[in-house]
Amino acid sequence: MLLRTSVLENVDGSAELTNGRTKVLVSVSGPIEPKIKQELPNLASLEIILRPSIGTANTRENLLTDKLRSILSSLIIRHKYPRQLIQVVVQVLSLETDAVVINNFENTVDDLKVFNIEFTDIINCCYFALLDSNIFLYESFIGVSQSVSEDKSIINTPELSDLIHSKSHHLLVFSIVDSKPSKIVYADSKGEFSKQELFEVMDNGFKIAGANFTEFRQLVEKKIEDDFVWKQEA
Amino acid sequence: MKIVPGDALDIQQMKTTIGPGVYKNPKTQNIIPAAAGYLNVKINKKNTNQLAYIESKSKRYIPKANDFVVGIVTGTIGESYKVSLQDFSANVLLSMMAFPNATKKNRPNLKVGQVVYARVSQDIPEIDIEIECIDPATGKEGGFGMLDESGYIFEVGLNYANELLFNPSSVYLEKLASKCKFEVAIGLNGKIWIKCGDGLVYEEDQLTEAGANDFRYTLAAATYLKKCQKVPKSQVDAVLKESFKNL
Repeated sequence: MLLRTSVLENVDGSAELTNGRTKVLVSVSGPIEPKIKQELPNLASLEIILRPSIGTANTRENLLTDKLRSILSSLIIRHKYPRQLIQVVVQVLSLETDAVVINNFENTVDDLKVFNIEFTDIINCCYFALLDSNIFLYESFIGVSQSVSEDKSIINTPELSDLIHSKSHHLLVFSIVDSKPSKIVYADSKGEFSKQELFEVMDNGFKIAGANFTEFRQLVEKKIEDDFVWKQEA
Repeated sequence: MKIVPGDALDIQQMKTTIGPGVYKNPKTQNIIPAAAGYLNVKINKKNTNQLAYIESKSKRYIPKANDFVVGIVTGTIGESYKVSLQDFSANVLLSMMAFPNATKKNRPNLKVGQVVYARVSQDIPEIDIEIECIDPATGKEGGFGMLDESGYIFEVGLNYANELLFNPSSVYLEKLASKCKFEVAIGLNGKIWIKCGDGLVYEEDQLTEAGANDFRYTLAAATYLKKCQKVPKSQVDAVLKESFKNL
């Protein structure tokens, strides 16, 4: 995983996350002055714009936007910014399946399976972009993706090939308290699975979320040091 | 100590004043860190009070009472000027009475586009923010007021502006002083106004040679201060030399 923060000059916070062939760029502007129709009297309104890597935004992006909104609106301290607007723009730069789409094999891959990889990266990139913009958050958060293969084994952060041959796939977002996963903020599963399997996936997700966040924390601490270069000893 | 949202705020139980980056949940009354940055806790000598805040990088200014800001006049509403502190942020109000010796009859005459150095006097987020150009202690000018038009304004990160304005041991301005004579107004809203020498000097509508030269220095100084927020201390001298190399 590769991360760059403060990549864009003219927004308040931004982050670019590269994970395999998936690359996502998120920018955050806010709190800024909203349009009259967006203004809420006692909390900040959230505008989320999602742009796909190829083509224009359609119903698929709309669905993703709504999902992202439900996650972010519970984690951002919106009461801190009454009558303000927080604008999050997600630009997917490249996807695992871009090559497939270009070659007109669009229907060979179940689109929802791509969701899983793409959306996990979008969520994680949003975390870094929000921190970079200094928007207040109740808790840190992390998205993890898992798939369950035919033989019922769980694969952590599956790749596209794993997903294609999977029976079900799951995306979980955990809130992080004290560097440890605390609550499930969001869960999205698709495929065939039993209740027992889902619980196993959640247990396993809990573990990898904790492990992955250690890496996230290091990235954030490095970023904080870079933000305050004048504090470093020469 | 570096802290991220969700961490436990490791502070003692005593009367606490919270600063930037720390949030008190009105429902649970819990105090939580809400930004990623360096946590600072300062306890007074009597061990009765403490101050907790997080220093974090930001580019978006949220007005706080008693902050010093550089604002651009964008219009008037009734008895007040509309002042922009940052692009895309809501305008703040500067009352025409908020100047030293101002009366109903003796008003300041500010035009759209002019720049003021002011103090935030009221910061309730639910209503319009107000700023003023009077030093509240003396009722006099106290360094506030209109900034002259021969200076140059540029933008920096809010944490860097804070460092320049409040850290007396900061080396950046001291090093700049070795290159030229300058006047500077640092706004906590990330806008810095700077003028080297006498600024732009006109004679019969023609820019004088000295004025042009001073402005070259002004631009070099702005480049230097802007670049310094991204380079380590060891490279500051090199940046200074590089910015002023053609002068």
